[in-house]
Amino acid sequence: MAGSRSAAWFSALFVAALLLLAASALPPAGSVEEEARAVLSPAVGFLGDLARPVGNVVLRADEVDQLSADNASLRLEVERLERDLATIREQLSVDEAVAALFGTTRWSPDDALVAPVLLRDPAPGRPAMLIGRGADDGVRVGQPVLGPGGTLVGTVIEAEPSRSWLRLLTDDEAAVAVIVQSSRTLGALVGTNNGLTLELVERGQDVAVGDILVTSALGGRLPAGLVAGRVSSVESQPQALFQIIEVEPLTDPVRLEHVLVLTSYRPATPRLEPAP
Amino acid sequence: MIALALILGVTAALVQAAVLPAFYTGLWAAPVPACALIAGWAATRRPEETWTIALAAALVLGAISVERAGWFLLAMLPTVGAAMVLATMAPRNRSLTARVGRALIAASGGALGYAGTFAIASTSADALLEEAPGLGAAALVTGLLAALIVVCAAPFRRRPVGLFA
Repeated sequence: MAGSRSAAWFSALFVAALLLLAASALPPAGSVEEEARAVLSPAVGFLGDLARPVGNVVLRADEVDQLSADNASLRLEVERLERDLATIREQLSVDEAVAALFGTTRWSPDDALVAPVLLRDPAPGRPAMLIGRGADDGVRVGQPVLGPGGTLVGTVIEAEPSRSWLRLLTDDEAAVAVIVQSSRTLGALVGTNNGLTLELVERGQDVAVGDILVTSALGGRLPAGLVAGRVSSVESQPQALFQIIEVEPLTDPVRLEHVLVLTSYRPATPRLEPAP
Repeated sequence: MIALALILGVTAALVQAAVLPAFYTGLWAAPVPACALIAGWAATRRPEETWTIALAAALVLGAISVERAGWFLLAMLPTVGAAMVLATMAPRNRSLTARVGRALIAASGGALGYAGTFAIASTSADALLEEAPGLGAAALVTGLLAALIVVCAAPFRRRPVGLFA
């Protein structure tokens, strides 16, 4: 009796899940989801802000000795820098401060927009992020998103009025045309969900560990010259056509609190010619 | 009791979305508080009461994710199923040890099922296999969390009803 009742409950839940999946394809589901997200995002952001400092302490507990030594030397450095900063701060406008934060002078405030990171996608297998700027601010699908130092973090895949979803470089659906900066070798930087690999680089092409990869304008999806990663290992097998190259991202997306969206960039849309 | 389960389900989802990313940087190797709560509640009360938790958590997670709420609910079903099966295997054994054991197994297995479901949803089974050790540890932490819930919720456990019970 209890077994059949349990089976009935389980079946009801299963049917509910299927109904939810089916309902999510209906047009009203998007607006309902957006309303719910508007309500929940502040709560998620607030809890995340509370948890982040604790998480930093817990995750770095094994580095306490090293951090103490670093702290002592950095404290002296900070005192000196604070004096310098107090002088400089007066001379900087807000836009210049943002440019300094991201360590790049290539993009002016007219070209780009600072956006806070609201949350990381909680679904496993989805390296995506929600940021606090959207279509009303000029964010468009396909625009590149940069982290500290002007490094490429990902691209916008969905722009709501006041928020946008980013697909990170590490997403296994992400692929970017890149050039090895030192040898100008062309390749495709592909996400694996856990990291990055550089593909389509033939055996014999000049690529070495430590080489920096920058984006290529090939295809028109991204502006040329954005730093995308650093080669961490190169393997070449005699029978293989291409080299096996692993790449490490230069920005840890987990620790990002703000990003820079290149709102002035208009990515090219692929033009499909009708079949003859 | 339904209202309490609803609140706890929403809380578990918010903890999963907002708090855990500060402690777990991997995509797969993170415990699943919603599964722990379902398994803990099922072992303390009745598995049939967990539908509120699963539905509330799935709707909240679906709202703040690019993934659909239906996938989240499907991903929690292995935990519900495991809790139901374990409850029917030894229905008369209501000792604390038995309930802790049931919660531990249901939550750990459920966490693996949760990850497996999303591996199917995101078609990234390879990534799941690569992170298998971390995933195993996360499943164990989920199980321990469920066991902790059972111990903490012991005063609210369902008591047998009967003249000589």
